[in-house]
Amino acid sequence: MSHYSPLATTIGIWIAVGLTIAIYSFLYKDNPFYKLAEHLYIGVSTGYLIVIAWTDSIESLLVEPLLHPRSSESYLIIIPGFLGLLMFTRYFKKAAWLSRIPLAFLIGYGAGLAAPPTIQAYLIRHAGITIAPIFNPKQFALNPMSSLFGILSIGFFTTLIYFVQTDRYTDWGFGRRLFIILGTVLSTVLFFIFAVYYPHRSLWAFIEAFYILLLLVGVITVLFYFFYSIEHKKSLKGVAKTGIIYLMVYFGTSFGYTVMARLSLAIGRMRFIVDDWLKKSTIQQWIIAIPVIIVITIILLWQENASRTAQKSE
Amino acid sequence: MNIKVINKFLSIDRRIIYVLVAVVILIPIIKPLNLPVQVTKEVLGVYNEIDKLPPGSKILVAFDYEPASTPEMDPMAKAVIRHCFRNHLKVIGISWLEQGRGNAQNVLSFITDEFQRQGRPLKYGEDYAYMGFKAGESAMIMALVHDFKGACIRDYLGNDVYTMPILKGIGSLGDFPYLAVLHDDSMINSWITYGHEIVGIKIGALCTAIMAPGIYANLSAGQLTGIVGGLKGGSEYEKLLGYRGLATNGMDSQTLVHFLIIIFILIGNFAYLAKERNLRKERLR
Repeated sequence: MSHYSPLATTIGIWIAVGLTIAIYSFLYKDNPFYKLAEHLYIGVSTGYLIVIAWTDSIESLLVEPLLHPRSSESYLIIIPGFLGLLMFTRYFKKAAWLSRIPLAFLIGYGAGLAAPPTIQAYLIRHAGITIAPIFNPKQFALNPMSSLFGILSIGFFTTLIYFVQTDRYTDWGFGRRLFIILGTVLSTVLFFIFAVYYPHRSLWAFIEAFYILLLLVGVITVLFYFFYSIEHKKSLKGVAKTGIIYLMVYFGTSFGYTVMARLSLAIGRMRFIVDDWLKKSTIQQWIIAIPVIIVITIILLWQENASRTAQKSE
Repeated sequence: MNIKVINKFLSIDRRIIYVLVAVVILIPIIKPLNLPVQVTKEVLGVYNEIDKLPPGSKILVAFDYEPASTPEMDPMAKAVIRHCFRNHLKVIGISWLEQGRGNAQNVLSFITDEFQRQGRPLKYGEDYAYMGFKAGESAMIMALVHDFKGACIRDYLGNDVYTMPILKGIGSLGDFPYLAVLHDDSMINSWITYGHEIVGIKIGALCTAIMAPGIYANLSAGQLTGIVGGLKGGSEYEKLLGYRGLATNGMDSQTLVHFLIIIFILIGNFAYLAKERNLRKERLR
């Protein structure tokens, strides 16, 4: 693994600290130090990526097998290598059409490769874990009372769906609305009590089963929110709004995590400045660094002033 | 409340907030608060899977994060590699991101140096190895599934992987008992789709906080054994290993800044509500 000399490490730390402060100076306002750091970052990272792509990818996977073939199969690497080279024909107008061949190959191969495992991993598997717990006897026990309220709950729920659908055309009246909603809620609660709470005698099992139901409601309502073939009006608006609440909970969590992540980066830089620079820097280092900093500052300010004057004269 | 005071609160210069955030971050760095850390079952899911592997097992670690994410990722990367070496596991690193290569080199050299100082030198090629950056993402994972060595050919130093003792007995990706994916992007999706679903390799996700909420569904689906998310996850892993590292110390600053942000949110909301109330009163007059 790589090791650097103490001098290289010290110079590296000073440059890294300078660039960190230069990047953070943007929080005050745009300035030439920030621009220098930004351009350096883009240039250095591009150069670094090209070198890594060559050494770790092109050289080891394409050049090396051709120069030192293990078997006759190693020569097959010429085909993807040639297809890769065809990509560069985009730079020549007359031959640009050739670049479509590797692109077509990539898209065709990618779609063929991705479709079956993606459907398995993200559709079947996830739909399965949403539905399967409902039919799990360990979570929902089957007894006469739970069966009765289960059937009643399904009945009320089906009526509720019918009610929600026809609500756009007919007015069901307050009494019927209340009866169907209360019936659905009560039968579901009683089903939970007899199917979950009594058999397990545990509040935790009850909460877990409720969580499964909550998840199912979330999946259905969020999917409905993105279903635009029916206008989201009257009761359907309520279903879509429930979906929005679920989405907002997710966005809120995501935003919270994002704030945490950004703060972690700031903490990391601060720690680097304090631990690796302030605590370890010596007076000799400062004596050498201060004139260098002054020279860089003068050059940058002079250049900024010159470009401003040039802009004004234009 | 006086309208002038309210307006002052609503128009605080953003630079004042930046300075306050910087000061609050600095306080625990200079003087650590040693706040307690609670371990969650998501982190335990990764820790336990690695912990129960018998000595000599080979673990694949994917370094798929950029240098910009190192403050968040490096502490957990170091913790997980340290855990592997403590349990005498053999670590094989790989990257799908070009930038991941530098991070992998730094983390591996940091931990191997640490073990050398402790009197347990680790040998490259026998105890650990790093395959370097391998392009292709999903296609490369499929290649690893069919023939691990054939897909890598050479490690990052240019060594022939066919002659490396650490890779003896490894024919496919499925031969690894565990895969730890250190990622700051959606790379984990490819590992799940082509690694877990095709060869059934167990995966632990070690990711930035931004990535964590999106992969909880995979955890529920049993496609992941656990999630170590952000600095918080890193601090929990450090607690399980019995030391206070960069992540645990960073959580002190994190907690204080969160308090500061809550205070700012409260001030902003109270000032906004007070302003609305004052405007309503004025309109009624």
